[in-house]
Amino acid sequence: MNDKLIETFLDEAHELLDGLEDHLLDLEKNPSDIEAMNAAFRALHSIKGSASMFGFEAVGAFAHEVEAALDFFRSASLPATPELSDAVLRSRDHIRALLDAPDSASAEEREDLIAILAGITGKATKPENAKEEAALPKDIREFTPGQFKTFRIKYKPSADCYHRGVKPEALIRELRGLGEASIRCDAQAIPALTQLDPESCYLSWNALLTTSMQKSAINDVFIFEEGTSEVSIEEIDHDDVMDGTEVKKLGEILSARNLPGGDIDKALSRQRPIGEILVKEMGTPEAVVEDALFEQQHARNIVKAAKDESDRKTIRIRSDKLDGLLNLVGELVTVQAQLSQTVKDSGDRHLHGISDYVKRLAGELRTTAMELRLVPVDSLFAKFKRLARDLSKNLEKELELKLEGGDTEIDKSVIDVLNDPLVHLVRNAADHGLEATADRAAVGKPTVGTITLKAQHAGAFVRISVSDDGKGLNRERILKRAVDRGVIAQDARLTDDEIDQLIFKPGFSTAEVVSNVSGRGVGLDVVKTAIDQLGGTLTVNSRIGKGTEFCLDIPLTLAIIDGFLVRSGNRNFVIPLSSVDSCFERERPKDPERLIVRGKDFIPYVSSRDLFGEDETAPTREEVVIVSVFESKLAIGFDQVIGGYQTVIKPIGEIARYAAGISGAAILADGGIALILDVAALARTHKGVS
Amino acid sequence: MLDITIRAPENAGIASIAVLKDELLSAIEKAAKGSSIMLDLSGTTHADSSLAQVILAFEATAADKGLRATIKGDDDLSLRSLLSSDSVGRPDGKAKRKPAEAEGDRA
Repeated sequence: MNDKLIETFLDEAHELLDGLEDHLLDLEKNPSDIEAMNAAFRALHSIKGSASMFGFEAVGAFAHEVEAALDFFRSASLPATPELSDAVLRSRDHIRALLDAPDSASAEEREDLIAILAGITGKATKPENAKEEAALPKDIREFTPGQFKTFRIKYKPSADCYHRGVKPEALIRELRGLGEASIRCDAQAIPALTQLDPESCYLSWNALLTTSMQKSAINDVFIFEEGTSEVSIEEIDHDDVMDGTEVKKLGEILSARNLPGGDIDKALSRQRPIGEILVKEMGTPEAVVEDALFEQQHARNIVKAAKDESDRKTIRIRSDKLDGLLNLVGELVTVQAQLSQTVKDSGDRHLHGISDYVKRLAGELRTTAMELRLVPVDSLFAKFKRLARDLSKNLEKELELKLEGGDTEIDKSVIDVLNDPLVHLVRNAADHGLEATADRAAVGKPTVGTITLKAQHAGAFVRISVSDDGKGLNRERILKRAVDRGVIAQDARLTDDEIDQLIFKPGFSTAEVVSNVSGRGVGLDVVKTAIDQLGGTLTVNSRIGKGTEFCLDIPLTLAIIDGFLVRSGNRNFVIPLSSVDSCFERERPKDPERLIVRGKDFIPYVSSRDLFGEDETAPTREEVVIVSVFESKLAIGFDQVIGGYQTVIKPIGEIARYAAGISGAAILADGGIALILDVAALARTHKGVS
Repeated sequence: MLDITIRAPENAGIASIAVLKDELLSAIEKAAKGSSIMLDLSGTTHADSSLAQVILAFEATAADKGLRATIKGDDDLSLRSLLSSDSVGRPDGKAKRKPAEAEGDRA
């Protein structure tokens, strides 16, 4: 079998398993959620089918067992029991193990799970009216006229339907579940309130349903209405309303209803809606035109659903190919800068025009290449629902996970690296942050603790925060542990912020009991290292009794940025343009300054000469650049502002650890080097002076 | 002018719908021409199409008597939702789409 095909199958199977997990978690919250049950079933069904096709026989056979258990509940319209959800979740994990490392997946566990599932279905009672084999309708987005049929359904419940315990709207909802439906309720028979018997039904429904199901499936919906209510189901010809995949015009639909052709032609010749003319002037029954319009709208819905799907068509590309593309674009940006400089020096106007065009194309190519790598952070967040659910069970704490800003997009490579740090922070919040359920109740807090995962953009950074509404950091215990471990001196005097930062020291943990969730004495330092390696920062804010928030500020991209080129002495620096708030020129101050005043703001100030040292004599004037990162601002004095500059970030590896305020380097057009400033770190370091 | 608010029960299904209808009817009889009657559904958590029928009859009857009928509640209790429908042909014909207003392609 072609390796690429298997790779594609595995990618898709993992996606299906992620979706399955989501649906099962929904089902656990709402055991009667038919949509979630059907979606979970569909995911398992797809995995089963493809696994057998690609030679993953064990996966196919096991998925079949799990699917059968799920189908037992689904076809009998039984709510999912907690035992079922739990067993299918565990089965999902086992399928994943079978796919990732077939040899290490335990056959014993597989047998156990099959026995558990059999036990669950054995215990569940299937109602007598349960459908034995419930087929699923195909997604309407796969619409092709041959595979789908359209039915016109008219349903007029008997007046006493409410007394018979029938909820007609529930039957209509069930009908909707069979495919793409357009439904109109006719309430015109309802009398005035004085005449109304509120326990009698005066309603009727007209529906158009396009579905891959047989007519018998529609009959099943109304099975208990046979003989008591009026139900008619009639298949209509797609050709009446559609021409291939195009929706017919109203006139074409009406002419198929045997209306006189002359009338239609006359009506069309006027510049007024054809329906209006036919009804008002030519005596066409209003209901005929209404029905035609209804069918036309339904056909439009079908075509739109199918088109939306085709517009969304995607292709899969290996991420290393995208990395390669971005590297090439990076090189192109560097060469283009060199070209621009050379052309500028040559003074050739013709070449100048070509160079400008190349610059614009390189810029557009760069933007497109960057966008290709952006993925919504939702794909990362979604995994945490399961983690939160498992933590809640293991720790016996009631907890709710809130996800915010899931549509925030981040570079794929950043997402890959963020997973482990976030897992650790969420575990930490559940284990150490949130109090035990009884303790929360005792202090008047809601018994359900909340952990919030949130993403938001801020200039060239994305901030991902993990917060809880737990007890907050115990600074007394942190200090004691730091002193005991020799991290700080016995008589050290630290601010609250400084104490909080101690938790990121290697081997630091205040957990008194080592649990299997967290508290092994490793962790937060590992999280900090991972974030440092991304060029990001990790901070913590905590309030006693209110909770703790960890903020991860990560650069949006690790590859190319729009920069602001500045110079100090003979050194060049690049500031990420999105961090630049403003700049101005002024006389260089004779005495050292730590603050400048801009309007009503006092902004911490530092000279680049003081930051990075400089031997050359300073010019009499300086350019001050004000940078802004999240809530912090910092003014930095330079000798010269050169201007906007698109640059490729070259990592400087371990050197960055020892070069405070530098996050990378860039190659300039003349082949020289510019250092990229880590404005977040600089702003943080100098925040204290204000 | 007297403005009246009628609160629908938490469970506005077949068991309680007759009482709600009587309250609305009594409010309509009491209300002076031009005044408002509000049906407050904000405390209603369960309802079915029998409530939709009463709302439709209430609106039409109130309009006939020159009264303003308003409904307060969330989207889950909208007529379309209660009737599982994309459109509703009302008893007074107000919201019914007329061919004259149809936006369907003309030819």
